[in-house]
Amino acid sequence: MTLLGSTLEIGSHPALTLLIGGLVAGVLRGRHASFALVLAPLFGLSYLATLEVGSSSTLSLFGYETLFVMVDEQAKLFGYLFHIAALVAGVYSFHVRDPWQISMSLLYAASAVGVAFAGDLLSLFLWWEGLAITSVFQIWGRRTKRAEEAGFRYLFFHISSGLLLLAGILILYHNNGADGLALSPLTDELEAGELSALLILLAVGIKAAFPGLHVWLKDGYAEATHSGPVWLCAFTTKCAVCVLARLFPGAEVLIVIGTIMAIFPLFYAVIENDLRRVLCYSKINQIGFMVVAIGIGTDLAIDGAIAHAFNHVLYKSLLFMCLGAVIFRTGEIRASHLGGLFKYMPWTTGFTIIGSIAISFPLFCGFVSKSIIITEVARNGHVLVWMCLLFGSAGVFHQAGIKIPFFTFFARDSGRHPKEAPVNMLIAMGMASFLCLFIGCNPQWLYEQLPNGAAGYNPYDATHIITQLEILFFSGLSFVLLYVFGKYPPSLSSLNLDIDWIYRKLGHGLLSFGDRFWNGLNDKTHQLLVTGLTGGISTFLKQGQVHTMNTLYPIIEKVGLVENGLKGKEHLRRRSSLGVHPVGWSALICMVFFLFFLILIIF
Amino acid sequence: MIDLVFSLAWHKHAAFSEDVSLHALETLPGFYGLFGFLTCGGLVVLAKFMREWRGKKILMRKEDYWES
Repeated sequence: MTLLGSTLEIGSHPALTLLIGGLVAGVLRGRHASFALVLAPLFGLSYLATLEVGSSSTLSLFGYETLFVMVDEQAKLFGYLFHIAALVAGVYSFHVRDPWQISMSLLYAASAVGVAFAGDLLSLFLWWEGLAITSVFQIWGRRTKRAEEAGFRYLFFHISSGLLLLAGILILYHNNGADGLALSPLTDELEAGELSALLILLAVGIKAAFPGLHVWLKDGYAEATHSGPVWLCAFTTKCAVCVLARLFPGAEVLIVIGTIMAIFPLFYAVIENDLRRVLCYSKINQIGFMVVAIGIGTDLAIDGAIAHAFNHVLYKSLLFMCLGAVIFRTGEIRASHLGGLFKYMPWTTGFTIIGSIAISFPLFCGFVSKSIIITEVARNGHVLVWMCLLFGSAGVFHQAGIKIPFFTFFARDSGRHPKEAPVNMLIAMGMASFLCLFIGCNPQWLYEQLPNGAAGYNPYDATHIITQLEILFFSGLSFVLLYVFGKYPPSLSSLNLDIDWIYRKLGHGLLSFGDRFWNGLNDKTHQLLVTGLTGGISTFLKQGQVHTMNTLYPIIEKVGLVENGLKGKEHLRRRSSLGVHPVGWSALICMVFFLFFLILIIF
Repeated sequence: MIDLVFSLAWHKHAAFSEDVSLHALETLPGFYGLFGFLTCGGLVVLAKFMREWRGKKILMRKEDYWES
């Protein structure tokens, strides 16, 4: 842990401006609330610049001292990233008038900043839960039934992630006491197969969209509002990358997971019709690169992962903004229903093209960080992983880079004639485009902020530029040839089954099976015990009383308690079947039984 | 093409050091281009099979699949 340089007051938490902004935006109405969207990140950014690396602040919580803020290079860089992302998304959402959405988006950004600066696992958990709850409003804001359901599925994943994290933390605390709560690497524990580390990895894995746990991403983002994914793509997964880099650097299992993440979504991206889902799949692919880098765990690789997380937010939010503008103007995002928009939305088209080439072309931000990862993989001798990442890099250009702009703005005339995107959206896209280009041209600005300064890495090596351009051009060529010869799969109104089939169909089946089995069991038990056995006993007892009285009839008749003959017998039968006897009778029987028991007790 | 011209006149600094077997492959002229071209072609062909295989739908469903 870094030495404590100074102690910050709790009032000066780096997330505070965003928090206040969020609360203020919740109270204000109309355009005033939107100003909070822009001002809060700006003030936060200026405050962040004054934070000293190495300072920290503690908070007493439930009787524990928790390290609430710890400022180091990584936290600061993610802090900058989250503020910039909030600023860009804030400008983009300036026209949104839903107070819940505005307020929650700032609180969401604040939670992300909190995660980046969290000094131990306990404070991490608190902010982690904040991320889950505040983010879902970007989906519910759409106010459709589908969005509502998708929001609940999204929450299910994220609340589970929080609970798993809590379980892991509690086990650590149980084993190691308060020392276990430090935010130090758990790689050794993970490799020893300890449950706590596994649970925490699973918790972070849900947020990082590990294969099999990734469905919330494409499910939720596709149903969100037009501005929702701009917020969503910036924070949740990047927080996961930030925490992974802190907790599991060098965990080899991450290399395997990351490689799978870099490849399998590409296949889905080819056949997906919803263009925001195509972006989601390419997003999983890019997070795969970061996860591989964290798995390699050398200083340069971790730097690469962090730098790539930074750049990824810039170009991915740019692309989500462009698609959001298309949805906003046309109400449509299916590739099969779009095309030919470039005449009507020329600026949006331009920004989309910048966003797509920013993923991997030289002079743009994606290039300067992805190269670090690919080179570091090669240097560490992971031949197969290197080839997979090379494929991932070519494939994502093929999909996010060509498919998205091509099918949205060119391809064919869809007959839609929308207006250009609103000015605030264009400004936000312009800001993100500028940053993509600026960091691509001046990578040292980013590298200097990295924890290890990227150790003098130079992305603009002649061989590297030429080989990367070569792979991209030929990947593009394959798209062109496939498309021209009609071999490229056409955009069809359809959806593709993913892992979600398991819980949405199989889970549903399980539920109805459970319904039939348990409720059936319930019914059977009711029949057997309540109506069968109890009823039987009560009938038996009732009849037994009648039989007993019938048997006793000769004695009772002799005593003279009932009339003689058939009439008396009939009376007795009726009385005993109803359970009513004249008072004197009952008293007599009671007395007899009482005496009987008394004798039993005494002797 | 660029690479072909380039590789004649320039010694490439390969990503892998010379003792790794991939070094020879990587420094072949046109390796990156071919790699990009073939893998992306393969990507699309495989993805089409994921949609349907010999007329049988594998992963593709109607848009209202979840609602119905």
